[in-house]
Amino acid sequence: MTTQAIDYQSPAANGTRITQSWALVVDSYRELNSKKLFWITLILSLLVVIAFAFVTINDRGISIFGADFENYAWSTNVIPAATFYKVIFTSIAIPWWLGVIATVLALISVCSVFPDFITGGSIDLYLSKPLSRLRLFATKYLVSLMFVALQVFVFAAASFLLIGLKSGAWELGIFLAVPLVTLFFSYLYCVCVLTGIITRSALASLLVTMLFWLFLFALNTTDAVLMTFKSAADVRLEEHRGLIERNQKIIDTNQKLSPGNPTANAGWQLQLDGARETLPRFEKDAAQLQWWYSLFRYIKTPLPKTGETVDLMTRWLVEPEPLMRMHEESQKQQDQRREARRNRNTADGAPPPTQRNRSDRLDPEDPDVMRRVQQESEGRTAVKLIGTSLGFELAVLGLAAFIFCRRDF
Amino acid sequence: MAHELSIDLRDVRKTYGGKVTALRGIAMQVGRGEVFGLLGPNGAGKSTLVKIIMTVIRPSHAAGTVLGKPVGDKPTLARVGYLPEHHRFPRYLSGRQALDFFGALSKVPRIRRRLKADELIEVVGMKDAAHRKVGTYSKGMMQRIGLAAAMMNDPELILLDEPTDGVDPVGRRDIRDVLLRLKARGTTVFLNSHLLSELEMVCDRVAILLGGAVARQGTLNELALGRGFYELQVAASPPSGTLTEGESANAVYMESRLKQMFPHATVAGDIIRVGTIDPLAIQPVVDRLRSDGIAIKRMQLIKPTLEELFMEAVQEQATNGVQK
Repeated sequence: MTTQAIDYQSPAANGTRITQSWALVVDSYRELNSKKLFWITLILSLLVVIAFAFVTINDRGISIFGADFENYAWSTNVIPAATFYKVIFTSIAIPWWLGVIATVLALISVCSVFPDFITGGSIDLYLSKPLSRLRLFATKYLVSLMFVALQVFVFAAASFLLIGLKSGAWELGIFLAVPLVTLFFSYLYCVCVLTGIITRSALASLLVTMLFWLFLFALNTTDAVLMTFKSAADVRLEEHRGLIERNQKIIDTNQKLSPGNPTANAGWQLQLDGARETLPRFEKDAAQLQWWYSLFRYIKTPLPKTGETVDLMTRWLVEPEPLMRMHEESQKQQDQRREARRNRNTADGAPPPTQRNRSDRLDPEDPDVMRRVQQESEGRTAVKLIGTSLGFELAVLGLAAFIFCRRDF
Repeated sequence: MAHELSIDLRDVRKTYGGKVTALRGIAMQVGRGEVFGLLGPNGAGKSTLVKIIMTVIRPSHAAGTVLGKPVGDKPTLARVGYLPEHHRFPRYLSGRQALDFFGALSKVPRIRRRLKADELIEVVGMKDAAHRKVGTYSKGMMQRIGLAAAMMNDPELILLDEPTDGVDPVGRRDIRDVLLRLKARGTTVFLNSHLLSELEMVCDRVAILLGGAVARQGTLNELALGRGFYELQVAASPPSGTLTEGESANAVYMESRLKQMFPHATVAGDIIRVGTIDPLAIQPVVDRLRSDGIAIKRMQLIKPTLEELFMEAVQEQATNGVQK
């Protein structure tokens, strides 16, 4: 019998490269398949879509599992059905289901991939094969992400059908969830992989990843809160300056019209003095909030933008106008309710609540503030958000790959 | 000459973290088609050396070739089979799937993998368990499937790290048969084992690794050189007429006569020991005894076992140290 060695330099070499990659894909599938969590997550995803099928909107309001909630602001008179379902998809299904619960389940599913892979006795079998360490590392990483993408695809496809069937809008943009959620997951998974490579422990890598995610969440929330209050402070300052300018103009006009009447401007002067007195405080507030906001932005710049990446779906998929209309309508309803309550209290003999100067407080729900926040958010372009996040991911993965390629197993 | 060697290591060194020296300049040659045994106590650097050859560990310095290519050349590994010590095949794969998967990683085309897996499952005696998950296998079954996986790419060189670890005597014999089969087809087998008797049975050449350096290397005969001998037992009383006048037939007297005849041999009673293992070298002694009419009752080649050679090397190292 003669030795039949594989001629690795033959024209079939390219084919065998695919053979290796495909073998790794199939192996990863078998590994995930052996962990029932993969299928459990997939089934749960479909159940979530089915649950959303029982949320409908009509001209009177919304209906959840047959229970009707009449609300003009949340009716097809204000917001088109297709937009409503897209809002549900982008504001609830993606950030809460795919962005939190399914992500946790996916992390649990794949956190052991690298620690198991580099276990003594296992890694020897892979490294002793004719494929480079870097390729092995990259393939394992990408295949893990591929299965996350598969999960999101199934969810997006089910949502696409649901929205299409319920509203007649066959929105292909829903499939943007696949790259966006996979990207979001990859920001976390790269940390999981690095920790797994360093500690060789699935539990440690899961814990570190969750802590990192929590840190990002806290950072993003702080950034969002600061952005809102900074915008509110800016709006308040601008309105206040406008007030001072208007008062000054009135006083000047009055003085021109009746120069000999000092009492004509008494009220305006009092208001102007009060406004001038308050101005430094408002300027200080705005400057302080700007400082903190800038600080957090600097901290955030090199870190992955988890929430903002997922929020790109809303930015790209949902037209802002119907939402603003809906919000204004809700605001109007709230004001009407407040007014009715006040009238009732007055009729009962109770004293009316103290009127506060609108420009004296920071109002995050002010439509002007909301518009400014939206402008500020849109100023952070997708390229910048994804680019800086991918920069972080590449740096972390580069370090993990470097350790993997240099380590003696 | 270089192309005749499957492994030709000139200077392989490994130091972990700049502190712990595992290999101190290994020079080792393994010819094509040879069964080569690597032995040494725990911590001698055997597994480190095997892992360097298989690119699992990066050497601090490595001069030499494997199958004619520099040590560490990845594509060459398509022609090499490897069974690591304490290997852990994915538990979620069946035995057959494991063979297919690792065959694919060795770039074996799909159709060939299928045929090869069938053949090897038969060879290692795993036909009945091939569809069971590896996680349910006993240690012996794991070794058998591991051996089959190492052969999936029809390797020109196969490195086996403790292949009989945890295997029962029947399994050990089966594995030995597989090794002999590999040798018969011209595959170079590099064996790393603690079981010296196993190595002795199958190896053409061995190397003893002590403290990260090759203490001895060669065929068993070469290693036994100067340590083996022929032992002859002659008749206690030589036939009458062979002794000169005044010599008595008692054993003591015969001893002195034999010592005169063979000054380089040792004689104790009726036992003559000649310090050679070369059968040609012993012939003049036999001829002389026969011409003198001394009857040879028994003649036996006594060689030190591999275990004795190994222990001798270990003791020598303990006495001299390994500072080289």
